[in-house]
Amino acid sequence: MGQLMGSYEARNVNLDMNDNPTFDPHVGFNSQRKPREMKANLEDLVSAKIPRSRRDYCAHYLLDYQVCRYKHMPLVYKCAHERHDYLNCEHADYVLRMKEFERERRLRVREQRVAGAA
Amino acid sequence: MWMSSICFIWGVFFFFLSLFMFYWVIYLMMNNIVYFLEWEVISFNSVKIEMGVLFDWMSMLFMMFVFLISSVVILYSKSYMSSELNLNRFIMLVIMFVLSMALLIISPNMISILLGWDGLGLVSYCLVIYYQNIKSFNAGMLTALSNRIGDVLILMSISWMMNYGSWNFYFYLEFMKNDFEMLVIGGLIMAAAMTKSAQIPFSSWLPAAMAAPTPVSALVHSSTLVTAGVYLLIRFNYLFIDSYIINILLLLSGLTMFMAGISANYEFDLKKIIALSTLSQLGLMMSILSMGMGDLAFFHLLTHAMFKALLFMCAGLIIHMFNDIQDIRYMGGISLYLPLTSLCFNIANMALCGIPFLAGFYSKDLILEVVMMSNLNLFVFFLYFISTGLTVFYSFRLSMYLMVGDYNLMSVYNLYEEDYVMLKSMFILLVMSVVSGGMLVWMIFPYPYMIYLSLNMKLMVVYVSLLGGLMGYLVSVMKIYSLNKFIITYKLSSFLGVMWFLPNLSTYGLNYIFLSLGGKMFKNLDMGWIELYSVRGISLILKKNSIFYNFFHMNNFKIYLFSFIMWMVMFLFMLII
Repeated sequence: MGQLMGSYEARNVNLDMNDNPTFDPHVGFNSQRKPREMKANLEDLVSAKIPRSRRDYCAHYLLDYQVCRYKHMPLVYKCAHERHDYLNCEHADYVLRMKEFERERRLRVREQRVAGAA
Repeated sequence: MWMSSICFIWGVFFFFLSLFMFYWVIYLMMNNIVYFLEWEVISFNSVKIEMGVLFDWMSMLFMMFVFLISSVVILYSKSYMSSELNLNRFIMLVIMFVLSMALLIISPNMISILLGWDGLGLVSYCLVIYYQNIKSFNAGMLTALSNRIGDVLILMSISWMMNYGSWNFYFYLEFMKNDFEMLVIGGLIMAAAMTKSAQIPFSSWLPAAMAAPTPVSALVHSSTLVTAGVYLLIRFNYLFIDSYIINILLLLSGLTMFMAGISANYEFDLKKIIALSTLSQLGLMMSILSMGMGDLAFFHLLTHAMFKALLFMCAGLIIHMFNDIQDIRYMGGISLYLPLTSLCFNIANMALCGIPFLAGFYSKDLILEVVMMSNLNLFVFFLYFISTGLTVFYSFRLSMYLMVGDYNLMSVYNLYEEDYVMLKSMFILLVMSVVSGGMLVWMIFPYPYMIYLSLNMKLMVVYVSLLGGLMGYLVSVMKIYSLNKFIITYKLSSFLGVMWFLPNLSTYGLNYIFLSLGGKMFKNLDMGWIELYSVRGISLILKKNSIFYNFFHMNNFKIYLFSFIMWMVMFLFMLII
């Protein structure tokens, strides 16, 4: 529910937490936005048996963490730095998605306002 | 002497077995591999009957915990059951139970799961009725019949699974999940797991099963048997992702943890409070499982097994010292007389509440934070957090009743911790209750969870815990259970104090119909018509015939003589004519 409270206002524009962006990614920006770069390659991910749900833009940090786990098992606490790097990346990714969600909400509100004025 | 050495031998054997399992866990985790062995027993009509075993890190880790708890429980029984004449029988029952559990854990096949599952039900029945008094028999019957529903559901799922030609469910879960038959099988498995893990409406057997000896409660009714349902659903978890039937489980398990938390606050039986706390934690495991996070449910299952087994063992020692009295109103001030037991009890209780950095903290806090991160509705969210507060509430209340205040049983007493056999086995679990959470959180999550919350949401767990602790303290000092206050809220407390009338539902609503029907059939058919027309009727006819033939048999000579005379008369008669 925690994140649901933060996204409660979005119900007015029929926007759910799990919806994908619908607007052109460059709308509202003066400069061209750069597409995100996937650093980990598929072969490494398959080789490390990383599940599909975890193959995101932070997967290269996850690979480092897996390598460290393999080296230090069962004393996995020695991989605290690798784990922290991965979680930091996931956190940045989450914040980015929150911003994208807010952008989508504002664009929909704007769209409604323009349609109402017309 | 021989009787007590059997405990030592089996205890040490299981301990080393658990160490061996730990080695396997590390090996399997490090190499990220799974061993799946399969033997075909028979194949007919496109159906294969196979025997299989699955060795992955999850099954090995669970086995390690089961063997560790079994070993300390068996060592503990050496002292707790020392006056038992048939200790050998008791230990054999415990070993049969552990082996059934092991079979269930390593089975990827529904047939062998059924064998383990039925073994658990049967042996747990034998253990619940171990003391052989009316209370034990009633509790055992309630336990066995409630679990029997689960057995029947597993049998039904086996018959449905025959459509696929094999009972190795592992191969179907992901590929057949959109199939209607698989949905039915999933529903049956879910209901079966609910009976074993005592979710609403099958909850009433778990507190009743406290009639068993305390070491059995520590092993069976806290860490192994009741978690079998959770474990089965963890294995079937793929099937339930994005499935709507799992929402039923989410609601029922949420209500279970809420109901158990409230009922524990109305209870005065030491073992039943701990049993209701187990029920509450099972609800937590089931609910996070129904949100699709089987790994978190498994994590809480393991940490909970440690501190709950310890809690039961402490309770057993306290009950031993109090001459088999379990009512917490008679207890008080035990921290002065049993300091080491109180230490273990308090640490286990704090781990249950989720105090940093004990075992329960790592699993419970992670579960609650993941719940906060999820897209849930308000009702389920409040069920989670109120139940967390209630856990601290009843734990504080229990600690206050036991540790603080005066000893209420008798005026002359002499309590001391004489029993170092029990204490030694408890210390093993004490260490595990402290370190297992921190150890497992690093080991079993190769893909860590990212949590990102606002400050107040992050502190929500602390808020509800503080509130629960305060309420627990106030309730224990306010004499709220005095007669006057109880009568004011009589209807409410009679509803909340007896698990929302679930025992009535299970006994009068469910079992009573079949038991009374069985009684009537026994009276009217077995002892009546069937007796008259089959057993006794046949016997009467045979008896009559025997008497008749016996008459001829006993009078052979007379009959021959009579026949001869008759023949002579007839012969003479013919000559004359």
